[in-house]
Amino acid sequence: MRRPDGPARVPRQRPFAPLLRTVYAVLCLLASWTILHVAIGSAIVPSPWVTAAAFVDLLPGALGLHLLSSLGRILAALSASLLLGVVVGLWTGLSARSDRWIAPIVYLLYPLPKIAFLPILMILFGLGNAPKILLIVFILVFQVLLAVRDGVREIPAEWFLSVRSTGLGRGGLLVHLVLPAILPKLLTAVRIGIGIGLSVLFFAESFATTYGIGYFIMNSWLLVDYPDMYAGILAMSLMGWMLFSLVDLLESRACRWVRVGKT
Amino acid sequence: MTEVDARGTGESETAAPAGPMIEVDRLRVSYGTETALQDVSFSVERRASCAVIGPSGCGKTTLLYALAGLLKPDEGRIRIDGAPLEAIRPATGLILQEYGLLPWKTVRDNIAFPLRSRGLDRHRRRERTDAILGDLGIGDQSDKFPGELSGGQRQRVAIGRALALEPDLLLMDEASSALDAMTRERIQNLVLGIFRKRPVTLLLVTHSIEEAVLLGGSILVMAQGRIRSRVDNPCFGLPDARDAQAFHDLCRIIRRELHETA
Ligand SMILES: Nc1ncnc2c1ncn2[C@@H]1O[C@H](COP(=O)(O)OP(=O)(O)OP(=O)(O)O)[C@@H](O)[C@H]1O
Ligand SMILES: [Mg+2]
Repeated sequence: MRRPDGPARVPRQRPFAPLLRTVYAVLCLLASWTILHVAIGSAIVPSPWVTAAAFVDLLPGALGLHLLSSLGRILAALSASLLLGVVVGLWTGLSARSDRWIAPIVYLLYPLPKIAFLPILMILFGLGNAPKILLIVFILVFQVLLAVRDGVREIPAEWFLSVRSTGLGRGGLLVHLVLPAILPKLLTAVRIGIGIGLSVLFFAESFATTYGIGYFIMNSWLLVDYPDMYAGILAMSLMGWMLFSLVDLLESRACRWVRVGKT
Repeated sequence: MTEVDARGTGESETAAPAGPMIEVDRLRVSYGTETALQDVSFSVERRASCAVIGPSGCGKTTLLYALAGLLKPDEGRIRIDGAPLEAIRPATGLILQEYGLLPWKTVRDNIAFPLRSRGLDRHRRRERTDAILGDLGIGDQSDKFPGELSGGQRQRVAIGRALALEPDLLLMDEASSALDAMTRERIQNLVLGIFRKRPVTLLLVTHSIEEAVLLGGSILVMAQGRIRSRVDNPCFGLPDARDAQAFHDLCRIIRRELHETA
């Protein structure tokens, strides 16, 4: 934590640098996509332009609706996992006794191949949103919980003493010490959660469903409509990219201190 | 460590102003089975300054935590400002060497956040914080994070946070041990200045014999969880004490005490 007292430097970036890097990433992707398209020379890899045309064509209509229902599911699942994971994570992190009771259960459930329970969830909760959201929550909640618990445990005891000595109670400790201290870890867990959540969602939406981006992609594939299928993949990637950008934005606002003093 | 209620006892207003500020009577504190302090008794008068010195692991920080109300003693009594210490006292300021500042709060917020729970509105918080930052000579650093400060500046902020709570008792742990010689002298002078200007009782823990003699009106020499001796300091408060012959004589005496107990 303490480093030799050199001049503390904050990396300053030109405002358009992140944008420039995004453009660069998109160009790389387009280039390799085009190369693949030409090299394979088959309908299974349509050109980026055909895909983009299909995307622009479909987005205001069917694709948009599929995308929105998927976005709704992923956001609901993320919020529920965060709420549950943070509450239980704080509880187990702050109280060794509750951890002794809860950790064994978590360690048993965490490695289960939860995706295998999708059929059971569908029998129990029907074919609507509930089983899909539940499946994602079931997978993500443990990651959030463990990230929060370990984050709380890493807070030096001296910080608790130092803040308590100012007369702050439990609520003050939570607001001023515990939550800010775990936030970077929590955001990392959210990032990983978005990635995993999207792939699980895709899987869940490809069974007995008629709405959702997963369904749209698989259905286009069955109809041998490759441009539509790729438009769906594009839509899903864009959704993921937007979610990631949102987390990045949140982090740059709330966790500016993490970068301070690091070169 | 035992959980202690964060509310004060509120007895300080009614307690008699006479008598010592700190009274410790046969204190024993342990961590589980390991005894960190035993049979510790001493007192510090109001507006006096007391330095605690001793080898690493002798229980200095533990003593400070107990006086701050953060650790419950196994035996013995602590009275602060005439009242038994039963909870964390709002008017006791604690300054820890490493963990005084929260890295996610700016300098200003680090000083201001405990004030909110004391019922100060935004305007008064800001006013008091800025006044203290100015006093400590770090007014221009107020929007930086602790990670952007030098060690000496960080220590000033930690001192500022304690001062903002307008304490009548200041407990300091190794206030300058991680600093270079020049910065250390400046922090020492700052502490002396605070002590002269404010109606505050000072108890400071240090590794350094010179610092103990410079900042302590009396000096407690500790070893293995006990107080071995108490030395009154005639040099305390002398102008240019660092250059006085008596200062160096007393340093020698303390050094001998420390070696005898080791
Ligand atoms: N949280 C703890 N749990 C168990 N034992 C502890 C704990 N903190 C301190 N101790 C033990 O209590 C004794 C006194 O520790 P303390 O931190 O008070 O020493 P100190 O005089 O402040 O040392 P230093 O000068 O190195 O800071 C030591 O033997 C230490 O090992
Ligand atoms: Mg110590």
